[in-house]
Amino acid sequence: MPLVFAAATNHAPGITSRRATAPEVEVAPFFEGYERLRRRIAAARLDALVMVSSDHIQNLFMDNMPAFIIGLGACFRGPTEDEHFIKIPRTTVPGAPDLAAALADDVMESVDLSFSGELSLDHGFMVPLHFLTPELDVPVVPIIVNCMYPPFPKLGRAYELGRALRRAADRQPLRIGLLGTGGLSHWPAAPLSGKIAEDWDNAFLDAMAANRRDDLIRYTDAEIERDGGPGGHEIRTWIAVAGACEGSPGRVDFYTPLPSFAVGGAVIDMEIRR
Amino acid sequence: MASMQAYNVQKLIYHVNTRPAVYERFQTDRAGLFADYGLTAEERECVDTMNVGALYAMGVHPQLLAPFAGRENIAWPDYIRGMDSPGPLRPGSI
Repeated sequence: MPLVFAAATNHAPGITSRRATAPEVEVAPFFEGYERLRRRIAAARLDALVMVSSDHIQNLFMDNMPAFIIGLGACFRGPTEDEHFIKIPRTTVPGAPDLAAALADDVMESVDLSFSGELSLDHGFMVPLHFLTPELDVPVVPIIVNCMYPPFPKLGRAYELGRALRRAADRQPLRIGLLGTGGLSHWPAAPLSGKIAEDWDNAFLDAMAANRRDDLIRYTDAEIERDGGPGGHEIRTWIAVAGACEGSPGRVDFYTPLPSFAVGGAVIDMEIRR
Repeated sequence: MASMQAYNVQKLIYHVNTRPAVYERFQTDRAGLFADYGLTAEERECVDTMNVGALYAMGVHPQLLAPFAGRENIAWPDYIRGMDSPGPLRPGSI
């Protein structure tokens, strides 16, 4: 079986660390949307979930910063953050090393990937997993896109990464899911923390829903930084999902600003046309 | 956000955040650690006093500063205030 499920959503440490103090009326639509996504993932009966996210300087630094890196480990420790802060118990997430190696080998026909046997998972992976596969019963293949330090991989390369992942996944005899996590606009841990650019987010979501490649990759890094904030660079993870579903539209399940979590909450499901 | 600014102090904070042995030394031999990483006097002062706003202004990535401050028990509202108005922060203050 090929790629059978593709979606993208946001992540933020506040989703778990500040949940208790967030107004229920503000955050309930987000958690209801996450629950719908959890059900769709369960219904897809995945053999493995490929996750594309950013690393928040927990694994990777400027001494050796890859544009894209895939985790080949048999398992991954996470969350890397203080578990009392993030309010997710430190645990072990199962990996899919044979699948990851096969995907990496195939992807590298068109996109160069770094690889690691020692990645750990920060909130970019662990917060979504905490809600979406709470039993941690679906093996994960983590892929990190550099969204922290420029020079960043170009948006078009993120789209191409997704196209390559689709080609690679479709050659596998497994039911594979793809989940991008990151963005949309946010200014995490920075002086403008809490700002959410709703118009910018909605324009991006429109382009995702139509899967208009040219619109998705039109932003310069300076425009992202100015209009979407430093966290906006994480749209690369969504663009990779769009690339994997080239030619197919998406459906925005919900979008809701979450100032308590300093990010906009959103989920998009992508169709997977053959 | 430019890369490579304040490289040494960013590298130190990255290692304090992610390497238990470096964090241990941060607690027990801070002066030696600062010397090994080649921190300037201004950088040493800012790290010592948890002046996250000044470190941010130097170019230190906020994704390094938030967990670094959290580990030192700087309350989140204080951290945000410190990013807006640089100055020393104290653990647990508000």
